[in-house]
Amino acid sequence: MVPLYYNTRSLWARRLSTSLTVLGLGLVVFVFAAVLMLARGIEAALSAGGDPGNVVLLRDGADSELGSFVERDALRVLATGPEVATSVEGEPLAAGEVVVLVALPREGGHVMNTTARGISAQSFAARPTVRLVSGRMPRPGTNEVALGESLVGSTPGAFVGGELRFAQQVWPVVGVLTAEGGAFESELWTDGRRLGSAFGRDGPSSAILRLRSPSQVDAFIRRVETDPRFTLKAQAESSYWAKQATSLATFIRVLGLFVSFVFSVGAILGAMITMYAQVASRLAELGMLRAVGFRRRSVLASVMAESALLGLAGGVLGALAASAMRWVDIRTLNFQTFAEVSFGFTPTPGILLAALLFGMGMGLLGGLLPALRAARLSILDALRA
Amino acid sequence: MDTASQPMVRLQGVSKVYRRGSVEVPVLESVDLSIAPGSFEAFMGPSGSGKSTLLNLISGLDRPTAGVVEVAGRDLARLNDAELADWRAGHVGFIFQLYNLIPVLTAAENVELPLLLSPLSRAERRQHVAAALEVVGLSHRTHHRPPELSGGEQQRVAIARAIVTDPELVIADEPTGDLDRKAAGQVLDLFETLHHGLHKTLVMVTHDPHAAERAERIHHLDKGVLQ
Amino acid sequence: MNYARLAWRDLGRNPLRLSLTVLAGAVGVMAFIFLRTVVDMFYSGAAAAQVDRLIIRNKVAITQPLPLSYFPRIAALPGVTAITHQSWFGGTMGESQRDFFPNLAIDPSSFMKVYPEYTLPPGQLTAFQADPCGALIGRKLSQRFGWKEGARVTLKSQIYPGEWTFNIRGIYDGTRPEVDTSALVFGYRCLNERLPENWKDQVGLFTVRVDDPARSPQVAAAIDGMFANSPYATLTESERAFQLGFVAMSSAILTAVKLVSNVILAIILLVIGNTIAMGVRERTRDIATLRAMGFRPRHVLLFVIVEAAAIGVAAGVLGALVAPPLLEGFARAVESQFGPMPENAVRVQTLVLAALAAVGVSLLGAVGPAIRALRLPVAEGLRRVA
Repeated sequence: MVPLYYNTRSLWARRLSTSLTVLGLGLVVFVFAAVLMLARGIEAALSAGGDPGNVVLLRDGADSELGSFVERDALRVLATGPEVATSVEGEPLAAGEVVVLVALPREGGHVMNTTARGISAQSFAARPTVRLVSGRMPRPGTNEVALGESLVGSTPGAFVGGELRFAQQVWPVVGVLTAEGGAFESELWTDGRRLGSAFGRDGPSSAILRLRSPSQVDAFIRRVETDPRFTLKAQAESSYWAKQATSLATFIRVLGLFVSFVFSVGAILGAMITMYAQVASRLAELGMLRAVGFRRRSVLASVMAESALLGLAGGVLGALAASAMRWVDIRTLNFQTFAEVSFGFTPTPGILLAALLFGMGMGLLGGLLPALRAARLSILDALRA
Repeated sequence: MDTASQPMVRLQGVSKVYRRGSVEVPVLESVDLSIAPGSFEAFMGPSGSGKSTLLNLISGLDRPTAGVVEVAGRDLARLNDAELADWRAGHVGFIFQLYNLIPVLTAAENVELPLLLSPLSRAERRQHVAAALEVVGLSHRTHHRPPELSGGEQQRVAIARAIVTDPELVIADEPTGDLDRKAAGQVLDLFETLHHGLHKTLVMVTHDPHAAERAERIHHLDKGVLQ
Repeated sequence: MNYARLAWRDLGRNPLRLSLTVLAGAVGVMAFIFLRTVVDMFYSGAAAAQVDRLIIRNKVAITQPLPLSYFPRIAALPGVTAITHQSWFGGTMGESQRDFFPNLAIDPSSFMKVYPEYTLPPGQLTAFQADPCGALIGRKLSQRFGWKEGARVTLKSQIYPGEWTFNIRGIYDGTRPEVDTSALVFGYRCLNERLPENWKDQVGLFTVRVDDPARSPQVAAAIDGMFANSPYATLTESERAFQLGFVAMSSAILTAVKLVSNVILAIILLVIGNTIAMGVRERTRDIATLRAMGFRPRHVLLFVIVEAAAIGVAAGVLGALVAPPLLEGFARAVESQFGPMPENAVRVQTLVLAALAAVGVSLLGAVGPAIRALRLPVAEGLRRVA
């Protein structure tokens, strides 16, 4: 009823207060949206490593490939199972892999705990999402290494044609891998036997098996776990990776949402102060509107609309800033595995919409009490102001 | 009933008492008043005489503690707050001492405000606004905002706003109180136009004897009693 | 009527705005303290590091072991006064990462010599050393799960197969409040005996104490030089550098948190400052009235400043009071993943900084408009409508 341009221009007339409030609201929305995007990014990165048709074998009791080992015999037996897919040559798509952490130097004198995966013949075949993006595959029986994309440039020698040095050996880099954003992009891949002997391991840490169809995964898992010959644990590869993210994703979500909630209280208070001031400075106008015939609820709606505008402006600001984060990559330690992972911020339409609504909601909450006060004004008192 | 003989405003036995905490302050005492349609009446009196209160009762901004207030045949006491608001929107135009324009809106947008409560379309509203601004002689200032207008111009915009819905009754509370002699004169000339030209009923409260003498009748109030 | 009373009464002028301003300020202060403390918690290991301790680990990766045989060789080096070893056990009570707490295999006879910040009643220490699979738990851990002397705890390790049962022989405390008491430690022999041949006699880290911290780099170089060409080359660094290495791995997140905390502080305090400025601007007329009555400009300024400072102090104090419970709640929420929060996590420094910032900004917000109001000629000030 009361036109919206009245509200927009009134907000503009008190630009300083308005901008500070919008800035505060925008920051809260930014933190909120960024945290959600980050948590999604972590989950996306880590679960993109998982193919629903693959099963990961670990030692019973181990939560991560890094602390696990699998007997070669057990692997041989399980690989002959009918559920396991075979390659064109008739080989079962099963690969034992040696997984260790390597401390690679990085700028500033600190080290980077990088996951090194010693692969075997069928590792690539079992993982269709992993592809070479430049260079070539490492040759079996050599120290040749392929780097995950996010490792390129992160340590001296980390490029095709360069050399990495660790475990007192030289490892030439011959290729770069992508994995659709998954965790493998933070790993370096090389021949399993060479890696194993460099690290004093004489057997695989884990094994990956590709089944003929994802529907057979549950049955296969049951078979592995009830077999008394082995003490192994089997998981769908996607569940395995999803679990690796729990600790970090939880930390980020809890910290971020805690912070957003607390800050939102502050932002709402800020919006409330601004709106009270807006109402106080316009008492005579509001009284005039009531005198001329506008109802109380029109005045209420007008003030609420003004605060919603504030909130929306904050929401847009925060959402835009958060979207800009999509070009930022964060590299950090996954506390669970001690390995470093790289991931980005994943904006989704849902998150951006939530950000706008969150902003508007904060504005509305902040404007509620001032709106009620404006509506409750007695006309005469307002006109006298 | 013959509408010509029906008064526009009729007050009977009207009293108003304000309560401040436990103290009661009587402001109006047993006022009887009758204002014919199309007349121009002024009310004068010292501070605290109750003249503003009288105006508020007549215009439906306040309710009496006792007595009957009838405007254009309507007993205002029968209307609840929402109905009073609607009634004001259609039947009363307001002119205040401090103009009470909205500084962030243009003259035209200010004048348009009461029309937003009517079912008119945007085009129709624009026509009425243009006509009202024409009457007060400010068509050339349509898109200016109050801070860009002089005191006299602002009051004339307020007058345009007061007549834009074509109300029967126009209420003016100290309309020239903040204006210099020349501007006051222009405003009072306009009141004459409203009175003689547009046949509105004008009820004015004022301190200014120059304003009062333009009215048809002057009433005096002292300590809440009509003399 | 003195100025203090006047200022106090004047604060009550607009109680709604006063409370909102103080609340908003308190939220900003609290948020700042919270974020800073979270960052401090990351650094707590480094902060607690002793200057005379060095950590020796496998150069290739921290997850690679070192031979136990290095022990006497390092101990014999000049400058080394004490040495011990420890190995991360990675034990959990259940299948998942819930109820996480640190647990390590240590050397019972040398541990306390290198880590004197842990204290234990002598009886308990003897009982621990006598029991091959005895364990000691920290006070915090004991409180968390209600374990007492004599309790038996069974863990499954992520690294070593099988189930492991330990007998709690004692509860240790720290000599200072910052010392961590959330871990379980047991004798290395218990672990080593059950390991297959090719896993035996290997440990995770060695820790040494040096006689002269100034010579730490030389001692470190000597140790690393000794094993440089062996299959298990070492990397020796000060305890502080070791801890900071971990922090560096999360540096991206820490940087983000620090940045956000500073920006938030700035913005919310700007909001307080602006509100106080609004209040002073509205009182231009009152200030003119006071001056008309004969109050000197400096009286007026004092009056305004005291008021603003009161608001800042109130915001700072309120924020500082509410921050610890908030932190407690947060720590509780992430406890299952990271273990319990250290005592007295909030540094006094952080509290003081936040409170000072609150007061400082409140004052800044008031001074400008107050001076402007004072510069106005009194007569004009009297005519001002807010």
